[in-house]
Amino acid sequence: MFEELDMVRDLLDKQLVDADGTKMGRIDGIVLALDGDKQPRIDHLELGFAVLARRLHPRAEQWLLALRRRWSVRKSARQIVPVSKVMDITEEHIQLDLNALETPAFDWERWLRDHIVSKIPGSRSEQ
Amino acid sequence: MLRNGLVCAILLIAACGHKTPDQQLHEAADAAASWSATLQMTAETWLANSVPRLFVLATVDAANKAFDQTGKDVAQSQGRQELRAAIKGQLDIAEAAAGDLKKAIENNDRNAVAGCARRFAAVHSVLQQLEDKRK
Amino acid sequence: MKKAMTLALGILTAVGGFFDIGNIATCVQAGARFRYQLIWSMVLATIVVILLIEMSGRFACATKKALPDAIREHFGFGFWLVPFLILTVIHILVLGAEIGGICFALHLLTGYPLQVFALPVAVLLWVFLWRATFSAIENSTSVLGLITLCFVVAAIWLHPPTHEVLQGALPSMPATNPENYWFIAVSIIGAVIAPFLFYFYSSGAVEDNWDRSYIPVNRAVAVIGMGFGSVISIAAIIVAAVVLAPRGIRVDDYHQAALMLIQVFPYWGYELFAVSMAIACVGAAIEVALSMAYTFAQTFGWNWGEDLDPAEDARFSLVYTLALLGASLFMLVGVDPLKLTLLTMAISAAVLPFVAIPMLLLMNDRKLLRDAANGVFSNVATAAIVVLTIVLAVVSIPLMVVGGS
Repeated sequence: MFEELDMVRDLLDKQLVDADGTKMGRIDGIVLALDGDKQPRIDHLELGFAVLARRLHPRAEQWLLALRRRWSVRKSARQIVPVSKVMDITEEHIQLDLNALETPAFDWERWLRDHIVSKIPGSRSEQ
Repeated sequence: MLRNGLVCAILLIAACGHKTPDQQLHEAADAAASWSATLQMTAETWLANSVPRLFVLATVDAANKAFDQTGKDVAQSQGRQELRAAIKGQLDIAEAAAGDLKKAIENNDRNAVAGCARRFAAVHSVLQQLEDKRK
Repeated sequence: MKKAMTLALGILTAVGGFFDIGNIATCVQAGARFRYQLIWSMVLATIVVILLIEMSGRFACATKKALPDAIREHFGFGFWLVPFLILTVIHILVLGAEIGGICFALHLLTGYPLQVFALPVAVLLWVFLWRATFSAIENSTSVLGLITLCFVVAAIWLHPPTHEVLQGALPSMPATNPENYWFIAVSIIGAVIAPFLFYFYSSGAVEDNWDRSYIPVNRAVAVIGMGFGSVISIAAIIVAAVVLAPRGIRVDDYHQAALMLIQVFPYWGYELFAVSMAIACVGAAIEVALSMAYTFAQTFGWNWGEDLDPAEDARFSLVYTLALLGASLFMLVGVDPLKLTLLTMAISAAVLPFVAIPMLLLMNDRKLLRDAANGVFSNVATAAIVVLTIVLAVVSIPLMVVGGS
C-alpha cells in the first residue's frame, strides 16, 4: 500500500479488478465522510454512468436517471463499494475483494451475455 | 469577441472560395474532359480485353451522371457565351458517344467501340484546348 | 527468435493498417491531379506517424496500458469525454469509408452495384472479429496485404522521371488550383495520421504482452512498418501520375482509379487493383472496429480483449458489432464512397490535436515511464507535431469548403 495517496491521481478513474483479476469498471466517484472537526475520510467508492454524468453537470445526471428508469437492467444507478473491500492498490489497478460477476458493475455484461451473446454460435470456444 | 472572429473567418472563407463565372466554367470543362478521357481509356482497355463488360457499363453510368451535372452547371453559369456554347457542344457529343458506347458494348461491336473511343478522344482534345487558352 | 517473428509480423501489420481507403483515395487523386508535387505531404505525414506510433508502442511496453486506458486514468473523465465523443464519430466515418472501399472492390469484381454488398461485408467482418484471436487477425490480414506491393512493382516498371519524383519530396507551389492542392495535402496527412492507428497499435501491444524488452522491436516496427506503408502509398501517387495525369483523368470517382494498373499489368491489372483495394480495406476495417471497441472498453473499465471469448467481454463485443452495423448504413443508403472518404480524412485532420496533445503529456510522465519517458529529441519532435496538428485543425475544414471537389 502507498503511504501517501493522492485521491485524484491514484484513485479516481483508476481501473478496478476483482479478486480474480477480472476488470470490473473504474472508480467513477469518491465519496468522503465529513464528521465535524475530524479529518475527512473516504466513505465509499462509486461506480456507474450516473456518477460520471454528475461529474459533468447535475442536469446530465437527471437526464440519465430518467432514461434508466425506462430501460435499465440494473437495480440501481450507482454501485457503492465500501472502502473495506479494497484489497490492494498498485500502479496498474485497484483490486477489490469481490467477485465481479456478482456485482452491479457486471449487470449489463451479464444481461448481454445471457440474453444475446450466448445465443449466437461461437461465443465460447470449445473447452 | 469570439463571435466576431467567427463571423470574420466565415466571410473570409466565403470570399476566398468565390470563383469568377469563367473560372467555374473552366472547372466544369475540366470535369467533362476528365470523364471523356476516362471513357476513352475504358473503351480502349475493353478492346484489349483488360476490363469486363459490366465495368464499362458502370463507368458510362457514372460518366453520364457527371455530364448531367456539368450540363446543369454550364446552363446556370453567368460566364462568357462562347465558352458556354463550346462546352455545351462538346458535352452533347460526349453524351451521344456514351450512349453509343453502351449499345456497342452490349452488342459486342468492337468497331463501334473503337469509334466511340475516337470520339471521346476528340472531345477531350477540344476541351483541353479551351483549358490551354485560359493559361 | 520469437522477437524476430514479432518484428516481422508487426511490420506487416503496420503496413496493412497504413495503406487503407484513405490513402488510396488521397494518393491517387494527388498523383492524377498534381503528379509528383504532393509526395512531400506523404513524407511529412510518414515522419510524424512513425514518431507517434513509436511513442504509442513505447508507452504500452513500459506501462502495459493502452492509450485510451491511460488517458482516462491520467486526465480524468471530464478531460477525455469530448475527445472520446469526437473520436467515436471519426471511427464510424472511417469504418464507413473502409466498408465503402470493400463494397466498391466487390462491385468491380462482380459487376453488382456496391450497395448490395454493404450488409454482407459488415456481417463477414463481424464473423471474423467474433471468432478470431488477435494473432489470427494480425497474421492473415498482414500476409494477404502483401498484394498491395503490386503498386510498388508498377511504379518501378513505369520508370517515372527520378528528378521530378525527388523534387516532389520537397514542398512546392502548384501551377493551378491551389485550393485543391492544399486540400489534398491536408487530406493525405489526415489519412496517414489516423487516430485509430494509435489506439489499435497500443492495445495490440498490450494484447501481445509486450514489455520493456520489446522497446527496440517497437522502434523497428514503427520505422520499417510505417516506412513500407509509405513506400506503397508513394508508389500509388507515382502510378497515378504516370498513367492518369497525362490523360487528364482527375479521379472524381473510384471507377477512374480502377484503370490505373492496367497499363503495367494488361491481363490482371483490373483485378489486381480490386483485390488490393479489398484486402487493404478489410485489414483497416478490422483495425478501426477493434480500435473503437478498445477505446470504449478501456474508457469505462470493461473487460476487453480479442483473445477473450465474446462471452467474457460482451460489452466489448457489442461495441464492434454496433459499429459495423452503423458504419454499413452509409453504403446502404447510397452515400458516394469517394466523397465520404475525402470528407472523413479532412475531419480526421481537424481533430488531430486531441490525439497529439494527450500523447505529449503522457510521454513526459517520468513517474510512470521512468527511463522510457521522452528525451529532449522526442519532446521537441512532439511539440512540433502538436503545432502542426493545430495548424491542420484550423485550415482543414475551410480548405474542404474552398478546395474540395
